[in-house]
Amino acid sequence: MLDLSHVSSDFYWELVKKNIGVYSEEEQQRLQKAKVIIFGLGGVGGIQVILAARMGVGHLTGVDPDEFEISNMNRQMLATVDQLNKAKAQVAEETVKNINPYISTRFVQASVDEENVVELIEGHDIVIEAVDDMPSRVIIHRTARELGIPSVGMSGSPPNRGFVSSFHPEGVHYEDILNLPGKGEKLTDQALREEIAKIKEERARYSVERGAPQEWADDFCAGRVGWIITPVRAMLIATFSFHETVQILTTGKAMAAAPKAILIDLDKARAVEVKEAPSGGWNYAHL
Amino acid sequence: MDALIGDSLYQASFERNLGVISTEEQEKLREAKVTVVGAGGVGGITLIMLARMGIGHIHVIDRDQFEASNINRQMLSSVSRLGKSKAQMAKETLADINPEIEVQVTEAFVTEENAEELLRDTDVIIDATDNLVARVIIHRTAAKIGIPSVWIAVTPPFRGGVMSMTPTSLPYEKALSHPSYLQSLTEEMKAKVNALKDGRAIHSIQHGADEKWAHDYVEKESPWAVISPVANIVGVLASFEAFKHVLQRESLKPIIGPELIRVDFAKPQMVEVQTPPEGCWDNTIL
Repeated sequence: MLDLSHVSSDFYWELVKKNIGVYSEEEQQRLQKAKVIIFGLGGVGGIQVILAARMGVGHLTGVDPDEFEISNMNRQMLATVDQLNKAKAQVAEETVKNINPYISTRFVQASVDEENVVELIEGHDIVIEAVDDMPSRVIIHRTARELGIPSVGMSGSPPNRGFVSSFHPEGVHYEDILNLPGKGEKLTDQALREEIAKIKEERARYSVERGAPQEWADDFCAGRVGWIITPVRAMLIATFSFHETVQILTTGKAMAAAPKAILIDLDKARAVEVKEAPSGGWNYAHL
Repeated sequence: MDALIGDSLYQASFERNLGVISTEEQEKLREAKVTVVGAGGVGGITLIMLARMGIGHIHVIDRDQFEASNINRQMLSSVSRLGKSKAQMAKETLADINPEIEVQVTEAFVTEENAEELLRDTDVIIDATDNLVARVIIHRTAAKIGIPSVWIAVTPPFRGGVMSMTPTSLPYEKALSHPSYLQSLTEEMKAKVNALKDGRAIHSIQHGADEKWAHDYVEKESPWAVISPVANIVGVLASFEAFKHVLQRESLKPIIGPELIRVDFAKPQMVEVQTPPEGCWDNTIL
């Protein structure tokens, strides 16, 4: 076997040269050793895998069941006309290898569920949750906590709003701070899954108060159209949640450890801000 | 895919924007032309965002080729593109997002001689260069030929800024207190303008940038430090300014200098619109 270790090391430090000054070499080495898993390779996760490879993360696992379709094009950084109908997991792996050929990867075309989640998460240093259905979000954050691994979560709503927070094994529970029903119950129960999924309809209705069209919210709740998401919002959420991840890996100092969160609203003069949750936790419908 | 061409492909690609913008506004974006000077850390992501919003016409100006140290942040860069023209690769990427997009490529550096010709005939100019003299030329020219321009900055460790200039706004060199205001760009003046960047490096130490890095930068022994999350946010906000200039919506005004969108990932107020207390900014603190 050809020994490429010195080549990979030289390449690595050339690749991350411009990180130094912002992060120290020691902090960069922590990223080099870090193992990161990202659930969801769409609007948010698709940007995060690219950012992770560019920042010099050592190992990256990505999980997504889908293939690219045309309506992904407006915001999903991995989506191009060439890649239509290909598995997101496969395209993500090819893309990150083209950024850093020496990065260690595992990309899986699958949905996350209570059966496979432990096997997927075990052995990583941090979990990034970028999926769009509520029950999967709960399963991912719960399991990360049980395995003693920090997790980063997020959500986004029309027109230009977003939420990012990180969860630590010793800290506040994801389900508590977001006031989700059925804490600790298995999500195999269909009624509970539906109750949790309903929150997204409440978010659609609240979005109307913040400037989204009533007609869209009605159509969304009736299952006729998808969630509105622009490239600007996807990028903001992806970048701030990825930065939170890097801060945890390099310095251990999260900006937005729950009950704190990063709140994004491009329609405000203070467009991005770290805030403490109200005493009863967040009202998820308003995020 | 084969069944979807022309209008139907465009509509399917950008349908998820609708609701945030109207169908008429989407058509405005499709008709619009945006010029981006620099296809690097900020320019690369800006170009991608403009294409994903559905902007129909783009002019990209950059004379450089990709190198390995670009990869940490430049969204158009990859190993397979090392040594290739940034402007040409931008065109390739944008056409793969939207096959009907018209991309004009100029592999050149903006100078006082060519600026008017390169920058005319566009709706908005985004200045994403890293050379402070080129920036002066870009914003002076934009004001002269009556086109709004967008300024950006990315500064260690986690700081940045975005603001729009218009032909009627406070002039760029006033807004940033440049010594060159109303002066000709002699070699001596160019050196003074470029020296502002050394001041920014030293000032960044008090925000947590590595002290040795800052001094090495001034001695020309280290490159400007930039991480990808900050470059990306600045690029996204710059593309959003262009979007506002194109849409001209009453309730969605560009942030026009000296009002400035300030970015600092290390502060609780990570992105905030600010007005300078003295009426203009000291560029070295940005």
